[in-house]
Amino acid sequence: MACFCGMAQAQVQAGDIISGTVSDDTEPLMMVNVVEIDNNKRIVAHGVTDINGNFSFKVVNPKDHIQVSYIGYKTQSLPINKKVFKIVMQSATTIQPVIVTGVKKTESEGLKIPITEISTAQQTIDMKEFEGLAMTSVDEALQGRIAGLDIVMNSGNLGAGSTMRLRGVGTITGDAEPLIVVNGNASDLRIDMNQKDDYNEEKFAELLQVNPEDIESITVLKDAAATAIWGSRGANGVIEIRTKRGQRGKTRVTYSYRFSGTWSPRGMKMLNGDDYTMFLKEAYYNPTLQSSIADNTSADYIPEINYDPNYSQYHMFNNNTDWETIINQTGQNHSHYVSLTGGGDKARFRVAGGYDHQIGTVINQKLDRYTTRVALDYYVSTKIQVSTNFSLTYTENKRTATTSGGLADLAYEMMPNLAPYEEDENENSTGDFYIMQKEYTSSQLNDRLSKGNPLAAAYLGKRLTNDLSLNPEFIFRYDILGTEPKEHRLQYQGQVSFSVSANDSHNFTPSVLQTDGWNGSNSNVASTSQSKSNNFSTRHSLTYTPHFNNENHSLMFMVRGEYSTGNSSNQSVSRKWLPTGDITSALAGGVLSSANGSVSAPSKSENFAFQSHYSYKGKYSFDFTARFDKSNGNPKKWGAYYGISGRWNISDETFIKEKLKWINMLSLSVGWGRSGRPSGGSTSMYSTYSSDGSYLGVTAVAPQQIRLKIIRPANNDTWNFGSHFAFFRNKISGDVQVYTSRNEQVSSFPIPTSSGYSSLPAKLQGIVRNNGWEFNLAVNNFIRRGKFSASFNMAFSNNRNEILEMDAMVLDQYNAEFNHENGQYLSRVQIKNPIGSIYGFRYKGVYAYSEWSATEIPGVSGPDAPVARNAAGEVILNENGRSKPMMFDYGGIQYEFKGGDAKYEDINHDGNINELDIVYLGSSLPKLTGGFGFQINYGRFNFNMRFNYRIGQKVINEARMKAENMYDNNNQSRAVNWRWHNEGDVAVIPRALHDYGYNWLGSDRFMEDASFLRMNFITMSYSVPTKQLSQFGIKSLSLNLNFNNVFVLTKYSGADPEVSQGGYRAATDGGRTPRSKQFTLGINIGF
Amino acid sequence: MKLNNIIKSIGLAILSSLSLVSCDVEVLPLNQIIAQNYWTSKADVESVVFSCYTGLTTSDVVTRMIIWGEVRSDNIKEGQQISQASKDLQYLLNGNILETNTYCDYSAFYKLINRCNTVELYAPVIQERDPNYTESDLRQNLAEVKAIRGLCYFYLIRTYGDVPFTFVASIDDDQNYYLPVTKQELILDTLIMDLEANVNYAPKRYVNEIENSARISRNAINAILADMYLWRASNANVAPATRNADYLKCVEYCDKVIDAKIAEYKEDRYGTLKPQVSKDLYAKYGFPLLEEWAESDQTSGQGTNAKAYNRIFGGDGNSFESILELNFEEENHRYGSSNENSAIGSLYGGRNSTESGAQLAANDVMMSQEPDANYESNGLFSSYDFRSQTSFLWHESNPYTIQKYVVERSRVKVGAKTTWSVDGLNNSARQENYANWILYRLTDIMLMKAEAEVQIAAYLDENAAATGDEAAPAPRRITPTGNVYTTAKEYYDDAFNIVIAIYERSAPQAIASAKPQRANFNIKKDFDLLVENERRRELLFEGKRYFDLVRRARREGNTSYVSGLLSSKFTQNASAMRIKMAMLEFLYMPFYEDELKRNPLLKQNPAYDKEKKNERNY
Repeated sequence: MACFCGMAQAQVQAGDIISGTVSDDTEPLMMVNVVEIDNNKRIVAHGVTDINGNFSFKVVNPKDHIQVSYIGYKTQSLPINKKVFKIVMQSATTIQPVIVTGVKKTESEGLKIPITEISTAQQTIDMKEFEGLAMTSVDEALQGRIAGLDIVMNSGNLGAGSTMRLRGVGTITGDAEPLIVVNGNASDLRIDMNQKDDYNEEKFAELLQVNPEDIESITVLKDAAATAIWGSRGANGVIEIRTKRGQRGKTRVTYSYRFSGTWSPRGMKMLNGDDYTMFLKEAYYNPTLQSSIADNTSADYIPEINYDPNYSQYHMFNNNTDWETIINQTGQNHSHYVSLTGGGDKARFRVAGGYDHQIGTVINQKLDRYTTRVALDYYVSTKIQVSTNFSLTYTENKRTATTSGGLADLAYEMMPNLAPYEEDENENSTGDFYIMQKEYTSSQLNDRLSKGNPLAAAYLGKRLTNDLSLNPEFIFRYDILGTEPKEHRLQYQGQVSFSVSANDSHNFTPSVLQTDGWNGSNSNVASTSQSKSNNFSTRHSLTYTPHFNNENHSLMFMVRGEYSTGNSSNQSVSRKWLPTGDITSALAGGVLSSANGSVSAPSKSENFAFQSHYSYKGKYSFDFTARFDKSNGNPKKWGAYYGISGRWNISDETFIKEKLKWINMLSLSVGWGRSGRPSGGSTSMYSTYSSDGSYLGVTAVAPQQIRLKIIRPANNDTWNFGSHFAFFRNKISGDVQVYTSRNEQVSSFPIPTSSGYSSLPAKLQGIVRNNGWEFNLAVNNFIRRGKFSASFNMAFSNNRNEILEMDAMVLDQYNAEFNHENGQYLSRVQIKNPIGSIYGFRYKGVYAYSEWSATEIPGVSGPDAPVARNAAGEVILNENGRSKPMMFDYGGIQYEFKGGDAKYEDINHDGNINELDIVYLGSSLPKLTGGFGFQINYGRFNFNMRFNYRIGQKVINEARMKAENMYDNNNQSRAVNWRWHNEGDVAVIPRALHDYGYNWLGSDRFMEDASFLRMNFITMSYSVPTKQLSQFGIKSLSLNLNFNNVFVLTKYSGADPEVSQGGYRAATDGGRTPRSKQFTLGINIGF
Repeated sequence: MKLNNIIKSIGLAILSSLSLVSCDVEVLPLNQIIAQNYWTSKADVESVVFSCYTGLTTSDVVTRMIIWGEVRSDNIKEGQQISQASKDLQYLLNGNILETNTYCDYSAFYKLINRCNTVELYAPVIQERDPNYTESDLRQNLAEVKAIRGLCYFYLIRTYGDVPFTFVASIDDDQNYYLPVTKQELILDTLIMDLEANVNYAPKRYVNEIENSARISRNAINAILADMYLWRASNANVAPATRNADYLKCVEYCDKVIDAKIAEYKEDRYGTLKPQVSKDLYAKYGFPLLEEWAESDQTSGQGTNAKAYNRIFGGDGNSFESILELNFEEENHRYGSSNENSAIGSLYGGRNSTESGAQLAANDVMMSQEPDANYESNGLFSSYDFRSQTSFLWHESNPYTIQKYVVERSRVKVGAKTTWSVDGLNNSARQENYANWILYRLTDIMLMKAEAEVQIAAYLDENAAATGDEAAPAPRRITPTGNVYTTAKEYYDDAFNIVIAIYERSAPQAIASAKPQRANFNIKKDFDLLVENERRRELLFEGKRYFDLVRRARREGNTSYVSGLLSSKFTQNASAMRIKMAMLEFLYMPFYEDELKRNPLLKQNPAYDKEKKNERNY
């Protein structure tokens, strides 16, 4: 409140000095800010009161106001109508009661729409929910939390990442991962289809390397009406990550430290050395019925498995080594995180940094990650705001060098009778890694040489990758028209973002791991590769919110234009024959074996988006989105994407509002949208030429590809029907969504080679449909007694995938003929069947006898023998009463099944197992995915637990196949101890046959139901009462204890039932490092 | 605020924000040359023309030339080193040809054809853009690519019969790429027209001596035309008079080549030909053939240099006798830019594999026992014929190892009665696989002419017998001496003259009994065999034999003769193979299964069309 001195005043001019005093009811106030502010609330002049409360400064514009503010008092604003002021401040503690009505709005990119008016399918998770949870990336927390988002962890290797599928798989050949958007910036990783090969799960994992502690919320856009705003890149769904920003108030510092111990669950139990040599002898004996490998006078003698003391390497091959134990260890994670946040009216900031140090559960794996993120907001005036964001992530991942597969795979294959370290005559280890040498090795075991020694690979080889990414961003916001809700509002936002990423890797393969000697092509090979990419984008948007006198109407519009450009390059150098195994750099001499470099075409794209939202009384909402995309992958054409959706909040109707008060929310929404998937790379619009050798010394140049003229991006059209509900004072809330989406397929298209080319770079070629539904339910505080309260949430979803249309020629390409080899499943794409179907033989057990007789003659013959049977199951006999043997007959190969061989169902009863007996076995897509969780609070204790499950998916357990086939020299699982040995044995595992027979054809023997329920984590946290802390200057302190991957309930026999499915192929478990179990102790301190 | 102002400010803001981002998104790739920046100068055209040659030298193409023209014939059987990996090769050798066999894949040839079509499309444009690119440059380049294209199609129709046919370059995705087959007769007519219209634009002689055989010259096109006429004439379904006219055209084009070679020899621009060419043979028969045997001394056990072989197949190649050959160069194979003839290396042998053998070996029926001094009494070769020694090894421990192309320098010995010692002959294999692959050479042309002459003679005989003196063909000048032949006997004589000239070149010291005697050859059947066997001996392993056999079967309208020869190589199920081969179509290759999937308009060769597939259960 102001007091005027009743003196006559001359008109104040610009440049005049005004002065005055500031006091409260009793005395003058010192150090009070007195400022002149202009129309835009920008400070233009400034003064501070002295010890007597006096101030003075020069006026810039007499039309401005002066503003007086002081802590503990109400801020005052006065017109400059006189030269001398006497100001009395009023205490802020005596404020009038104020009623604040706020509407919760989505923080999605684009329009800020009240949550109750959202008409598309989307789900937002506030990261507060996961406080105290130990995780290295957000996907761990999101698993099973979002209905319709199926997350499968790739493996327990560090940095291996996850595979995400939102509402099923919409593409057969392309990338099916959702688009990751961080603060409105879409990742530009996969814009170029031609560079698809560069893309892998680990790259995708890098995208998610926003430190979970920095994340404020995650919004998942599910239907095409929601993702249409992302145009040609939204077809796989969008995950929008919003990071934390500074908050007004005193500067707060928090520090957290977490320690985790991790260990890998044990997979298959493998044979020990004694059982292994036994099996191997049998495997070599069975095909030929000759035991020459155990006969030391024979040329085929294998001393390694005969415990022959005369053999020079005897001590190396008489062991029982458990390779799995040797390569596994207890891992550790240390994670530090510091954040600073604070700010006032003018500026807010948040600065955070984290450091993770992870040691894997497989020896010699290490991952270090540094992240930092800075967010600054500066309010120049109420109308103008400038923000800047900066983030940096640096990851250093040290893995182990193996020739193929991971170390865990290798451990399964190693001979268990082999010593890991060299041994002297007294069987004492010399400490050197033992590596089989060609000159001492039997020819039958030559394949062992390439396996090397996993320990040597881990300790002597090198696989090092570094990734650095930087994302600076500048944002300018200006309210052109009003700022108040009762005015017409028009806001401009301009944004410039850069992203720079650099990646380099250093590999070294020492010669000791190789078998082709010092001058072999793989001896002491070091390679270095580097790639870098940078991207620039600028985005400008205008948001207009008109004000209606009739406040029942609300309307918003937004137009946005975006232009982005980027380029990338990579180079690699590889050198062989480095002088010693100690020098491991490709830049340190040696013979150049290859050097490559490439610059990919710059990518450029532009798009315009329009978004509008209208609602009447908040009851009827209507949204419309349009986006137009153009990129240099398709420079001539604009792709158009639309989303249209509406919502009816039934609960706002009077008949419910008045009669059914327990209903807080009940709505119906419907939406249709179109989003897209890019087709064709940046060069596919051109006829390209490149050099093609030389003739007579003249360099030749030849055309390389057919240029695309008629291609457009593939569309994904989705209908979505949803309902949101909330009952009993929002105690129960949730939503149900039902959708159907049609996904056009685009990929390279085979054409007759008589054209001179084998394929078109891209062509639309079919439609895949995904139908499904999702259900989300949250029950808040369903129990509440005193200090005790409990909440519950769950999400589950179902997706049915079906190939509706597919070009017959493309189908033919996918559907290769059965190649009649062991271990092969037919890969097929079939109309009306889902992607990822599994086709194979039906396995019926093991033949007990080679010879057939109607009644069993023990040890000689019996009814369970490989003979042809008719449809009634009767044995087919010829005129002489002889049975017809069961054959594997193909292309001149005529294999007659014997006792102990695998029994396959002869579907067509022709006495011949061939491709005609292959049937559909199952689908590798889950029927139901989801999760549920409980949150229990008891005073200062908090328990949070989360389960996730996938039900109904079939997985080919290739690891088990390899460990039970008894076809080569690899170690086998202990299950093979139950194999068939002699005529008449009733066995579950066929006989051992080295490199012979058809005992492991692709059949349902290795297909397993991988349904599971996993307790993903349980977190217990306790926050220490602040009273006890203040004496140490600590504001808050909480302790937490976490268990991750606590248990898995599954019938699956492999290490981990979480197996992802890619492309059109079946989900195949190749024996990956299982996801580790871990416990974590954490502490959070706030200052 | 007034509504007007609001609208104005919104409009302004929209305009300004849109103009900020409205940029051209079209950027050209940095890492590749693109068409709209290419095709500007003479050098650009030539680079693409040369890609037609590099395309010919790819292993995919050369391998198929060998497999289609040679491996399917009775010259080849399985070698000792045939690898388990090359099952497709084994199936082919066993006559078990499935449509899944990768050697049915013809894509490498069409890739090449498309390059030729592309040059034909763009080269005329360059004339407007680059003044240095003259009309004659353009015509020469066009003649070159048309010849290569014609050659590719000619390989395809000889291998598959009817094939998809187009002269349109594949540029955009809105073109029609689904072509049904065109009748081989129609393709051949089109190719002949195309080549005849352009043959005179091809250079008679290149400045650079090597290019005369390494690039398409006028001789090369004439040779291709002669070969095409010979093939077209061998169509049993066409009226004899028409066929005869084609044989006469064949003779005409052969004469053009032979005359050009004679003129070249007479001119002897560099003075190098006189010492190389056998004066005796030239004097006696009128053909400038390289001399095989220069030294009379054979006391040394090592034999003497096979000079003609070494000039034609050994060393650097590009001999005087060569009309068209694909050049391979030794350098640079270490760094991947290899111009290596790996097809020879992997099929015939290379890198010191003269003794150990390769994937393929010579069929033993050509020489099941030691040759003797009589003409064809113990197989194909007499003991005086050096070609048995330069083409393959006949050795007790490792019989029938292919030597032609594999050996860089060959030595020969006359009339060896005992098993030849490999070491004694001291052949030297190439260290690297850079043997040139010969497509046409002089003796090939001469023997084409002989084959055509035998047919003309037979036609004259038949017509004289049937209708007296009706429709005698136009008189032809046959020899350099200017003789004009009108009777069957004269044509037979000339054919014999060609055969004996070639025979004597490789068996210069042959006694009379070791040579074919004119008196023993009286009827067409004798002459057919004379020419056929001489072609077989002379062009052994040069990718000609199988096409010779198919041509003969086409001419006869049945496979009875050819299937008898071919089944000689099948050790197992020979009789089953004979039954299969009764169908003329079986002599062609099936279309590749993958290609049939890609092109629904393509119908499989009926000889390979599988019986209806069984019901699947998935």
